[in-house]
Amino acid sequence: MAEASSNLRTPLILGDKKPIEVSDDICGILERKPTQLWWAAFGVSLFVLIVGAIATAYQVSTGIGTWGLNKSVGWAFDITNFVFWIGIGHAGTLISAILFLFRQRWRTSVNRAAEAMTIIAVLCAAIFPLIHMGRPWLAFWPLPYPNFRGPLWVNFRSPLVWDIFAISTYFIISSVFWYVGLIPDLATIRDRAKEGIRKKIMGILSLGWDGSYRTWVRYETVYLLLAGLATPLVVSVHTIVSMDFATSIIPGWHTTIFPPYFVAGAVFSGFAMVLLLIPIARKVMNLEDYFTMRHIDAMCKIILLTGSIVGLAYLTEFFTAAYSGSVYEQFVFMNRAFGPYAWAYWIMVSCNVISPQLMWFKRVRSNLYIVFALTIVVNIGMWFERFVIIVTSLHRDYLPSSWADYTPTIIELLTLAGTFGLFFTLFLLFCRFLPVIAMGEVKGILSYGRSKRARNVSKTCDEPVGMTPALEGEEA
Amino acid sequence: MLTENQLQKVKSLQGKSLLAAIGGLIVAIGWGFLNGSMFQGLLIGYLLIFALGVSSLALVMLHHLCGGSWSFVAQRIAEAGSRTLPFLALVGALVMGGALMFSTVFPWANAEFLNIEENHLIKYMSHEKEAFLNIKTFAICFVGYFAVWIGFMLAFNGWSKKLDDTGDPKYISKMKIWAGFGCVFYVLTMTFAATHWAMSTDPTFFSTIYGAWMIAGGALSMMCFCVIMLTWLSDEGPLAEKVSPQIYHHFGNFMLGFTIFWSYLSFSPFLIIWYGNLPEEIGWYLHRSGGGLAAMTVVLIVGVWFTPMYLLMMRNNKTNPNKLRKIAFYILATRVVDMYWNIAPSFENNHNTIGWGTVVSTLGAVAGIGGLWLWVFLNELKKRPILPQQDPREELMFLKEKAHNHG
Amino acid sequence: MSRRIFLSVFDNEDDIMDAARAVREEGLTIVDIYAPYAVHGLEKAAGFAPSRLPWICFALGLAGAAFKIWFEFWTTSTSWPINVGGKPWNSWPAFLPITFEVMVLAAGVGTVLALFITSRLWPGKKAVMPFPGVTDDRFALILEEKDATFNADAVRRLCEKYNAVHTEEREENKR
Repeated sequence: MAEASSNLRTPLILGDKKPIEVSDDICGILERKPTQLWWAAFGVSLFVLIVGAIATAYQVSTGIGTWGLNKSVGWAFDITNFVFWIGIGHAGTLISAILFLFRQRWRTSVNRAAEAMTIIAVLCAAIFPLIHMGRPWLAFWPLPYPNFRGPLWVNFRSPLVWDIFAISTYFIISSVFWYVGLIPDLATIRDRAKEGIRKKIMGILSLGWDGSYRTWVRYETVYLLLAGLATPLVVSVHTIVSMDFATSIIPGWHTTIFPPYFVAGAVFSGFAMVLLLIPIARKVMNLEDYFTMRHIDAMCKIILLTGSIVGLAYLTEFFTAAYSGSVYEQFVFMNRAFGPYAWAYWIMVSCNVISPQLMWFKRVRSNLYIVFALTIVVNIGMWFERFVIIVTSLHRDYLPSSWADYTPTIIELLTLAGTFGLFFTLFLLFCRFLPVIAMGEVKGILSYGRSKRARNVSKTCDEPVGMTPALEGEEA
Repeated sequence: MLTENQLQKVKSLQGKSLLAAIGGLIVAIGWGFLNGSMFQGLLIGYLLIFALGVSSLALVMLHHLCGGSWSFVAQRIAEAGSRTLPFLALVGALVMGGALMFSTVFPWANAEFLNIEENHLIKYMSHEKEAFLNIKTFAICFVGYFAVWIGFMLAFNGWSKKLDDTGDPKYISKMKIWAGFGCVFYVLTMTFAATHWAMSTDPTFFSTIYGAWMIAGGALSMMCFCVIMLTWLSDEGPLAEKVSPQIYHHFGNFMLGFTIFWSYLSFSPFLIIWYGNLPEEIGWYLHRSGGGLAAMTVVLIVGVWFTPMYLLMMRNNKTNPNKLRKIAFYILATRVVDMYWNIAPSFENNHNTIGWGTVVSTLGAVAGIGGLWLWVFLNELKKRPILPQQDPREELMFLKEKAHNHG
Repeated sequence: MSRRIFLSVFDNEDDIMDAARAVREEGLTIVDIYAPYAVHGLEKAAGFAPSRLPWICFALGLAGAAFKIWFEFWTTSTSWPINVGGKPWNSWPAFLPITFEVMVLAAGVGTVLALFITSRLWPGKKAVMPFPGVTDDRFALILEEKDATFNADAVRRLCEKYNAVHTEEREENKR
């Protein structure tokens, strides 16, 4: 049986490794001095971050009049970027929680990096509402704390208050999930490290983890519970983000398909971002045995699926607007496709709907360069999707006298660039100081020491046997 | 192939289903004719049963796209289900054709309706929809939808037969490619069909999620139907060897997933429309808020969302075929309540009230059309081996399970 | 009070799994096992009871949700009712999203804290491991020498049958 299956299936981790080799490979990255490539990337990211920080300081001290907003378009670049970054984050939770529930074992090599990406992306997203408040030091006002103004409570019917709860819960739960996953690995690093600062810090962070199996039993239970909680949470977060728009009565926003459509779009863009980071990490840190082409293939298929769902949602919106009999609905959609922002609309369609269709071809999915290019294209497309939804629905008001256009100012563009700087700076720091691959989980899927059971086959007996081999990327 | 005993079993169920069909149709047509709810009930019943046929086609395509051992064992059930589509087209033509003649089902099909002065909004909005909501377009689209579905059905069943005979992998790659297109077409046509056949019973209402909502409900029905068929037919013969607790576990997970997905697609549009409170949309929910319908909504929340979700969260309920079958029967029953709630209150005589006339004719129609459909389905099921015969993917699909048993 | 323990170290998961099963069949008491990663089925082989943390998670989630929905009703309809957009005081559909978020927050964070408490994990705690490498690539099995009937040599032979790479007897202070 063992031979038969190993012939049929490529293993999840290449190189026929032993557990100690996994530790050497992953911890080795942290124990070596950073490479010049790392310093170069870090320098560029930090520079962009500083530029963004200066732009942010300028607009906070001057006021949000530095933005290109006007009476009709009162909400544009900041909310576009907010939704964009939150969406990026969702792939991390999808990989760590949903694929865990589905027992998709290929996730073990990518989940740590993807979860880190989630947390960093949520941080980037949170910057925009904070700046938009104008006075970020009063950012605690939307929280329902007892106060001397009545007490006057926040309006719990407002989707913006839902947002605050959703984003903070999402940030906290993602961080907790990530940290819980890290604890055994931190203990491994601690025990490998010689006396010194690393050992001290890891000793504190690893909470005295000693590998006791009684703890492991509880730990596994908690991990499963967190995955079960994070799965509906990630759906609820983007549902609530979509409700920021859908609960209003602005044509083009008020539509019932928004919640699932936003969730699919978020997963779509998030996976594109993971696929952008993974090939880089793989090359820079020599992790080809861990991030294999099989991972890339599986993620391409998820991008193809979610991209098609997004495309069907565009079509459904158009059809329903035509069907609705509401002239405002019909106008908004005609205006999107053929109005002043038609260029943005067609960028969106070609990047999000048309380009991912290339991933039907195995040859495309197995070419890293094309995949890499496509992920950039998808990220651009998804950014434009939010831009199109937001700006084209606002810039043509009911009264033609209120019609206006919107162009971002240089300050807004620099702020967006700054969040990319923050994203990559933090991600590079993560790669330096923490294990990019969940060692504890990867060791569990090696074939080493498991000769009696079929190699690389069933890690867990409650694994749903029939789970989509195609999704795991293992067609003959 | 089915064993002798199983063939006997199938034959006797076919007899019973014909009896149920006759009884049901007498109720639906007789009772419905007397109080004018005939086509209302028939439409609701038809849409419920139709969902099984068309979701079967979707499951066939899904299997070739990304299936595993769970869809492998249900493959012939799904194929037989998809071969009922011509029958469903015929019944659909009769039901919809009749329904179009009565304004109590599709108000827009009645010329007088547009002249009602009391509600200008309805008149205006419906007038705007004339391009899509008229009998000619309706008929052309009806033929078009079924042409697409039956076309895909014939293609996949044909390739599957050839694969059985030859075991040639070229049919697999063919099916894989067309399954991708098929799924896209399926979602599109279902969205349009749901608009025409169900959403237009309230001509002012429009909702972008409606098609997906219908798809989710149909998929849930199909999963339950597969579980019932698998438990029924895996007592002996080829299925007995292949169907394992893990496969039921997988179906149970799908039932759980679709239950939650259905609930999500039910609650989120409600929240959006409740919030927007626009006259052209909110009416749909207002018609479901008074009389016994408010209580029925609570029944839906508790009975269609919470109870199955709670039961299916427990692992033991998913791996035990007897328990899972009971849950599947329960969910199928709740699907009737859901479909009634979804459509019936849009009929003018049922606004804000549970119209018992429609309830009885709906139940009659479910038994009538369902009985006939089951007869056709079982007839199709008998025609081919109960498992694919020479599928080269079979070994790979069952690999994990074997590995588990050896470990 | 101190007790005598018997330690054996293994190199891979098949061995620890079989050894754990074998010593239990011999009627010996497993104090604990130390492992670098979670081995599926090992808890069953070692006879460890499943965790009761799901109940804590359930209770905390329920409590969080109940508190939040009450709080929203109280603030919006009793404490200081404000008419926003003509929505009713008790706008229950609008209260559900936050209720859900707080439920997840309470259940998730609470369960992790419960894990730390029940497993006695805290920042700065000094990890005491029976053998080097159990957080890296080794498995350690610890048996209690309950009484005089414990035959260390027999147990050593049993463990070596399952490729134990190291065995030793130790005096340990009970926690």
